[in-house]
Amino acid sequence: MGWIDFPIFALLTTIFFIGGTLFACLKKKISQAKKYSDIYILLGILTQAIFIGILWIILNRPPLRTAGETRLWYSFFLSLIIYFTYKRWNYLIVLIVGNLMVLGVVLFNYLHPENYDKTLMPALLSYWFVPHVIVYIIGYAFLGLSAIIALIGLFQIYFSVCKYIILEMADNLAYFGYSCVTLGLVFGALWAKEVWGNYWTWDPKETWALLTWMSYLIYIHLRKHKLNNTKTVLWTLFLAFVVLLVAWFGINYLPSAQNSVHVYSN
Amino acid sequence: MINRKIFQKPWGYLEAFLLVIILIALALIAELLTDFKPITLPNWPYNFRIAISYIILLVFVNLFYKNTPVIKWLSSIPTCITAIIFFITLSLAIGLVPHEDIPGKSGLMLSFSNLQRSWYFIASAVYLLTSLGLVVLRRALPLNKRNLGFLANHFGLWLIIFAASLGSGDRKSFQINLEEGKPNQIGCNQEDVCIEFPFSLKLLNFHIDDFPAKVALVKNGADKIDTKIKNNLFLLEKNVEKEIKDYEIKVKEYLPLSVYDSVKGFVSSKDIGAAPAALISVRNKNNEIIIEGWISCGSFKVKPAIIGLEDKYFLLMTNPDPKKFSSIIEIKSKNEKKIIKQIEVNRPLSISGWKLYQMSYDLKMGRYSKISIIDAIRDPWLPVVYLGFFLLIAGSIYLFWIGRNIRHDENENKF
Repeated sequence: MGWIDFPIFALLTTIFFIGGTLFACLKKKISQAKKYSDIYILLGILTQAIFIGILWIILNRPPLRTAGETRLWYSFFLSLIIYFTYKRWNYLIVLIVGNLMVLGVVLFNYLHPENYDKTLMPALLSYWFVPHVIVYIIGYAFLGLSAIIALIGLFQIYFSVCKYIILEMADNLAYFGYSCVTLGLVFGALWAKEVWGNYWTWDPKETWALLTWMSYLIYIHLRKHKLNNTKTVLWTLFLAFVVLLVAWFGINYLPSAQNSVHVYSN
Repeated sequence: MINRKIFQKPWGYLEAFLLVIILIALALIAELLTDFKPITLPNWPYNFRIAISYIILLVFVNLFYKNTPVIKWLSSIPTCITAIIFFITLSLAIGLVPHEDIPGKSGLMLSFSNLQRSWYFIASAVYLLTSLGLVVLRRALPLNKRNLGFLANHFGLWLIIFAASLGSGDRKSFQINLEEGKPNQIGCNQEDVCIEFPFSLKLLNFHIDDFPAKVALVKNGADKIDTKIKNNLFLLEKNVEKEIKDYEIKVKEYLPLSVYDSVKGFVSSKDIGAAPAALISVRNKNNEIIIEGWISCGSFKVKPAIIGLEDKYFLLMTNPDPKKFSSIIEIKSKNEKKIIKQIEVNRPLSISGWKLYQMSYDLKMGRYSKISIIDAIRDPWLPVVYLGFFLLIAGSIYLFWIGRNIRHDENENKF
């Protein structure tokens, strides 16, 4: 048995998100659609939270150890952030593309079932484990959505669909994400000092986390500068997310990372 | 920027990139002169003198040349972005090239595989620190409440890079191998330089808590366990039933510590060298054949046991993963006072300016290890780096808090 009953939870999440998104699209045509959209999306988020909670109880450890487990949290936080961003900015396309990405992550987890495993190596038995990984996942979720917005913006520029650029929204998400990633990086350094006596060892995952952090640093500084080139800014924001993906998953395939302490265990 | 000739003021990206190229050229010359050998960073008191001189220089430049075009440019966003890009490029190379020391490597490749200790890295760090340092001074003098968040982020980062680079020459790390019952006060580093500590350590007891062992279905002739098979590598607990491929596997008995008895099979034991064993019943769903037998991962005393399944597969037990391991240590300092403490992974111990970390043990002996490997680490610049970390944490919370209220230039949406 893999993750207990994941297909059922995945199916429920999918139904709720598709339903919620459809109702949001139809809110001008059907009365009450807005209310149903909110209910469906919140139920989708709740379903994921319940699954994570059950998994935590069964495993008797925080489900944050394997790549698949981090993806569960990712889709949960991403959907939460998408919902609040949508409520704040009322920008339907973000909800549609964002929820598609959430469902993509859920589908990926469905297609790659994991054998659940209670073991946790001694180095991970620390009070830093949960805050370090959680702030990273929240940060990744913010930055994932900022990348979606960058793509929407680039699409608008290249296809001249409309000239309404949503840079302010992208900025907010990038700032939130950047703050979380900074906290994750510093928590990781403080934790590493406690386990191995070194706060920085140029471990490939650390190096790529630093690269990710610096890529967003460039974005933030580009935005502060008198640069009249939205295209460059949006490309920077999108490419920074590509660096982030390498740091998160790509690292497992890099020859330089074969001895890394961070490669997800199988 | 477009209608401006190079070096026509105010300077921008072009000049900043040119400066990076000049820095790389200078670093290359320095590498050639030092025969591409990794740099040994200065230690106390030289690093402290360098630190003070550098800070005085930055403050001096800021006080007297703050408004000259070159210094304005050095603390501007184009230099900041190029400094980050320079640092990113080097970090990218570090992140892509495996950086172990390969014997026989020489010249350019040697410095490439050890970039953290190359002149390129020094050049990049100095460029970043100078640009960042000048910005910090510009905003800090005179101090304005509105700049506190900015300063926490920028000064925090500056402190971390500054103290981590200059302090690394004073960082000492020695490994102490402790054998049960034998006092030891000698530790050696990776270069085989050994020192005597002002205290001696004696291992009283080494202890491991294990998880239960796991069971794996392996194809005959395969050289590794296929972890993708559903349920493969499940934890062995009594009465657990799982299906792996076409086999229904039931754990009828699990003995965390046992020895083999030729008559009774595996029996529980507290002897040294006892290993986990499990009585397993396997039913093939296709032909209803049931096989029952013991599996064990074995130890230096117990022979491993596997169950063969119809010449196609076999079942084996993997070594149990450690849950936590710790050492009870008697510490005797110079004043002859004895104290007994426990060191555990994630729970280091401080003594006489050193921190002691539980690192490893005799892996072959596993839970019966009589050896505990401890790292003794001293890093006198750590409080400064930590101050930087905490400033950065404060800065991040500030950024998270103000988020969208950050001001941008008005013409941002034009493209």
